[in-house]
Amino acid sequence: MEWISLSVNFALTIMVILLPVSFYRVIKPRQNAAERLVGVDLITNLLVGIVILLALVEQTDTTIDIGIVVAALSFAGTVSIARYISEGRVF
Amino acid sequence: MTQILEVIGIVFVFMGVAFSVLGVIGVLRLPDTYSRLHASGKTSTLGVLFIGLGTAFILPSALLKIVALSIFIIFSGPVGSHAIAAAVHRGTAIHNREALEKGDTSLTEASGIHSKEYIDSLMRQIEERQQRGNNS
Repeated sequence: MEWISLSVNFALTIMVILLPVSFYRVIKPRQNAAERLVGVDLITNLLVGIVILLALVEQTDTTIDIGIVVAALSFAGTVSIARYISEGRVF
Repeated sequence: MTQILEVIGIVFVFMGVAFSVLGVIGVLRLPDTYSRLHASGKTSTLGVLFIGLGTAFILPSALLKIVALSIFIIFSGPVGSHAIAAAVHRGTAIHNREALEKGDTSLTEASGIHSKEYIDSLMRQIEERQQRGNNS
């Protein structure tokens, strides 16, 4: 079982390294709001993957509930900010 | 038997990680916003789905929760990508109209909007839609 935890930790390290790389897309100057929204959407999706991998580290299925909640909140946030950018109002 | 399942699970987890790496590279390197949105959409569905599939092979007690998460991801990913694409198409016209009137196209050329007449027609559409929303 040693190699399983080793490779799960390796995958988790790669996913965590991807987070600041995609955060560069958000803070990069001279771009419009919708392009920053693409970066935020990518970060939240990477975060769902990281939370699912944490379930393998902890060997419990309770962590996946956190992933479901993060996915639902990121979907609501993305759609509401996209509607605010495109139409000038949320509802 | 469990050894075989664990090997299959690790392979699926690394396939998901590879999709995520490719998506982040695409978002950083591709030239305009629609291409970047294409890369980001593949990452959001396929990356998370493959990581979840590998987790279900290694940890079978989590299978039902992963199925629920996968169904939600399959429905919400394309809806979110479509909303962002609509925001790129219309929102650049609203938020960057002042820069465009001064002749500065550096903020809008990533979304392919160049002519002033096209931006005026988009603004008319948005105003009509807002009035319809206020009446109803």
